[in-house]
Amino acid sequence: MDDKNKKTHDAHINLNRRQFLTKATTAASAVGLAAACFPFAASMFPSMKKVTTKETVKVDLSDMKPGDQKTIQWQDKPVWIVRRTQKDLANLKKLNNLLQDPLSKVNQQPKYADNLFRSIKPEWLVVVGLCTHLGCVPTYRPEPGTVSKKWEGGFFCTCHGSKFDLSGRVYKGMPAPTNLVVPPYKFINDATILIGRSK
Amino acid sequence: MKRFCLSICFCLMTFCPFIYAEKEGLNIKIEQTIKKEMAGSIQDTHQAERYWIGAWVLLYLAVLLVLATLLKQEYWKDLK
Amino acid sequence: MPRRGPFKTWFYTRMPIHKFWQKHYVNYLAPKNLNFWYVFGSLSIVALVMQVVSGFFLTMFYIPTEEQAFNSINNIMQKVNYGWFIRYMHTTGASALFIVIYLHIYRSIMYGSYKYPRELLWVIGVTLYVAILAEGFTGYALPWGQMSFWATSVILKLFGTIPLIGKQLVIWLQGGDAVTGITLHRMFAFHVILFPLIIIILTLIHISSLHYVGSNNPLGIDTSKKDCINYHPYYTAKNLVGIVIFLIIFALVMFYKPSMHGFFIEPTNNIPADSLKSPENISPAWYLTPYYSILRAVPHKFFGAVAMASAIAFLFILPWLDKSPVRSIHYKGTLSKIALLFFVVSFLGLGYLGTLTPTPINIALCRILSLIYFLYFILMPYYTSYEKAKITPKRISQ
Ligand code: HEM
Ligand code: FES
Repeated sequence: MDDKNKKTHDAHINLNRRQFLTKATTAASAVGLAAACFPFAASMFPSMKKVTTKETVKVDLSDMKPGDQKTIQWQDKPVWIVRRTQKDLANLKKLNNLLQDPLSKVNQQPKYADNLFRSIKPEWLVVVGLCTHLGCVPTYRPEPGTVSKKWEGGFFCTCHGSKFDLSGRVYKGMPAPTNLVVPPYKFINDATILIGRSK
Repeated sequence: MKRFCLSICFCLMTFCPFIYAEKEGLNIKIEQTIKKEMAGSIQDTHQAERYWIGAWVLLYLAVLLVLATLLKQEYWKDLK
Repeated sequence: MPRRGPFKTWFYTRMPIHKFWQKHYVNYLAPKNLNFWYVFGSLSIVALVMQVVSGFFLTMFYIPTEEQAFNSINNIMQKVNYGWFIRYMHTTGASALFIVIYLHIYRSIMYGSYKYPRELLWVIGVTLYVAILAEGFTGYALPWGQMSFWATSVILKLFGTIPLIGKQLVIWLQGGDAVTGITLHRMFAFHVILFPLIIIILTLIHISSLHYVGSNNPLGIDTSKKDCINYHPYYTAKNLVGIVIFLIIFALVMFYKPSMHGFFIEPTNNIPADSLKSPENISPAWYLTPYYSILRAVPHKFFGAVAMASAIAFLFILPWLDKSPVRSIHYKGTLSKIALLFFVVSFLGLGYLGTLTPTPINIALCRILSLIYFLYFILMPYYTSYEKAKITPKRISQ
């Protein structure tokens, strides 16, 4: 169309209406596109039928001697069970000023494990074996002096060097910010525990 | 004007899927219990949900169609 | 110059993508008389994007092994959140893409868009079509149902008719003497990496070469700037209407008739693959059936395959078969119109016959229609130069 024609024509065009329609259509399309993203995003969540958060595991403790450690799989995560020695338990009391959160103030454990030993029975430690830094599985190093000169036994994460004591409490100045997580568990009898449920 | 009326009719038509979804939803529950026994082939167990979502999608598209049609007519006035 | 913020200025002085955008979209000049047939190019892009997105999500849940493929599809349909939505979008989308492409090609034939100066554009288009056929064929194999298995097996065996190398070629393609999980796994690789990549690259080339020679139009005449309007906002708005109508039809199928009476998802394919028992009627997906009919029409293994291949090969040389001085069917003579009508009928008929069992009558019909299909091309140089074309206008009238 030539310019001259256009000018006379422009007078008849309602710019407000045009702008309104443009905005309304754009907005409606944007809403539609966003809504269309939903099923795709939702597909990436685990489906109801695959959610495993209710899974529990029974563990037999009768074969564990003091100082033994064992790893079991619970909800696709490693869980450690350690039978601590009397010496280990005595050591735990001395470490307070070396630790980041000695009194376990950060909520990383059920109520019944909110104590010095972070456990139901002092002898038995049950923790999720995933470093609270970026989720590597730390190594169990019970022998004193193996990780550093003053090492009293505990867990050492080889990924970026976080250290934890035998209660799963993190030392000061480590990349890991918090103590290891204690899962819900209970004693069915003296030699069996059930991981995944408190009652 | 004629096109606008057509669009309105179209909008009203989009309620059909809702009625369809309502009616079919009941039959499907019964069918599915039968189908469960046909193991080993690909089954479609979400029909009722599919009909409902389809109804809303169509309703939305009907609204969008009206908007798009008006927008197109508005811009193409330039060429008259 | 429009005012720009500091970020845009910084960015555009280093990478002027706005120029690309303006050249290929906002300021692309298109003839002002493009009708609804011209929406199918944009619709192909819409369908292609939907396939890429839904396919990407399917890949997250699909397992390309002999043992797991079928079960993983079942898992997608039942357990994955909205898995049915994603799968039905992909299955409906595949058929939608083909419908749209067929209409797009028909438009190009009808308005002579393959003629000078758009021959290369057309050749790229036909190449795209072949790539999409290959994409459809490899995708069809993946659910590993009965139809997947047997259609894959039959179509791969076609390569065996090539003299000398045929036998080895089939073993090479299958990864063994027969179609197995190994074949499935490579079908998957082709379907999710190679062919999509080729299709996307060719699409970009297709569009940029279109923008170099400019769009044809329903009258098939050369247009000057005065006959053209900016793509944006005029064709954006016009195509949006087309896209929404497309989506409405798409949604109707996807939500209410996803198997489309066995055409989009075949019931036989809901049964797991069984290498010991062929289904009664093996047919490929509907978009391949015209060629399948041509194959059936020829009572010779090698020449059957040749006929099938040349059915597509003729499309490539179409620009050089058409001797008419005009492009659009509007100004061509009666012979061309009749020929086009016969061509469309033969293609549709062949497609339909390809889904049926090969009874003697069906085979006879296949032969007649195949003959018409080929005559359309073979006789084209004669009828287009014999008939008298009408006089075309110089400009698109107001
Ligand atoms: C993924 C597949 C394809 C996409 C995304 C695509 C996209 C497009 C687009 C956006 C246009 C411009 C709009 C239009 O004219 O409709 C176009 C034009 C064209 N396409 Fe395609 N196309 C595809 C496949 C094909 C095929 C298979 C052929 C031919 C066999 C083809 C031949 C043409 C021709 C000749 C034109 C120019 C039409 C004209 O200006 O009149 N395209 N294409
Ligand atoms: S993951 Fe353990 S220190 Fe980084």
